[in-house]
Amino acid sequence: MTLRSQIRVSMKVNGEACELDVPASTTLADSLRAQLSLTGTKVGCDVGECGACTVLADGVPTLGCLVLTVEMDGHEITTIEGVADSRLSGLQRAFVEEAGLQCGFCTPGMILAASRLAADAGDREIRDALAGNICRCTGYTKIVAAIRRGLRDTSHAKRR
Amino acid sequence: MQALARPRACVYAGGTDLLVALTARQPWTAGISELVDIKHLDAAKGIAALRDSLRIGALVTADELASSAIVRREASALAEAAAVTSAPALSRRGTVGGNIVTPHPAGDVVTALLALDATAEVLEDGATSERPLADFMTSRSRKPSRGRLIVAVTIRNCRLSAFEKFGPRAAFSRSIVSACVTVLDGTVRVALGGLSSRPFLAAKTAAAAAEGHPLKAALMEECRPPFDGRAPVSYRLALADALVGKALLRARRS
Repeated sequence: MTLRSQIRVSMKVNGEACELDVPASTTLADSLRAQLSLTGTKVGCDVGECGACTVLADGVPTLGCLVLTVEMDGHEITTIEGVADSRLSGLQRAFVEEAGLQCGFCTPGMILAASRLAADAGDREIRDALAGNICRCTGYTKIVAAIRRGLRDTSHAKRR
Repeated sequence: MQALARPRACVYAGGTDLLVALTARQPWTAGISELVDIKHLDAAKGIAALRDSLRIGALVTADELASSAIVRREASALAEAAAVTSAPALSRRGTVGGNIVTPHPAGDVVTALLALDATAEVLEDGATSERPLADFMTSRSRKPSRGRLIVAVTIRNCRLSAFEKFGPRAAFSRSIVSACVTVLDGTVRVALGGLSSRPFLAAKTAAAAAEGHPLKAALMEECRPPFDGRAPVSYRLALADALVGKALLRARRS
């Protein structure tokens, strides 16, 4: 594909089918923000180092700034907007209750990066899952605590 | 492959380096107007066990290497290097082939591949040839693909191997220095990252290590400054000395 060619992409975003026409060189993060107005996906560094643009592609945490939108044709994307329904998700609520954020810029990426962890994940596994997500405010202790609690609450809620 | 022969075409796989370069408009990308996505190329997928070696497809990701049972058993240093080379989301995208053609001075996966005597299977003009990996380790400069593609690498099985790296933080940081030590047919091999513009095989350091001699003189002779600004020469040499020693100890014990 030439970088300038305009390509039609069909994907499912937060459960809804959508069609986009994008230049082949457009990144997924840019399409989500500029064309679909899903600005919960943050672009921090735009070079794959900060993790703020993390979304789920077919359920797998993926950096939106290092994937071309055209590669996502036929795939399913979940952004932070798709995590909550009418209420906050367990992980989101735990970030609020444990004060796991200050400016909040890294939080969507943190929540999506942690979303595949098992309910009983230990601190080591949580920190490994977040190795590519940088927070410049909090020092991570409260983020890890929030995720530990969020994972536990989510699994309790499911069991009920 | 026809698409790859076009002068302004570039191979696209994991994109973890290429997309960054294109976004930043790095000078070497100026000639690229077309990306050829090779992620559907079956010949470049998967890890196959041969008699005394492993054939690793160029599209295999760092995450796949780190979690492969056969790599962990037959070439544990490569699994160790892949496990610490980058953050999870990047590890699931970055490929073996991309690691080879991307000129990072201390690429962890490449450092391990060199110590495991890797050769590259290269497809060019419709014919496949085996080339030493070192052929791709020569220069900082890179160019669009020009019709040439690394399809796979073959490494020698080596149960006596270990990888060590040092970077600013435990998780996801580029190595300042990395070292991989293997013992193949009784011969100690040492590959070093972070002491030149590309990882390289350090034959004199390996010889000194095998004899139990101090490594400093060999390291000084084999390192090739200038480096990037992240650490001075003396610091890197001290790191390399310690990391090679530690890796050798672990390789011999494994």
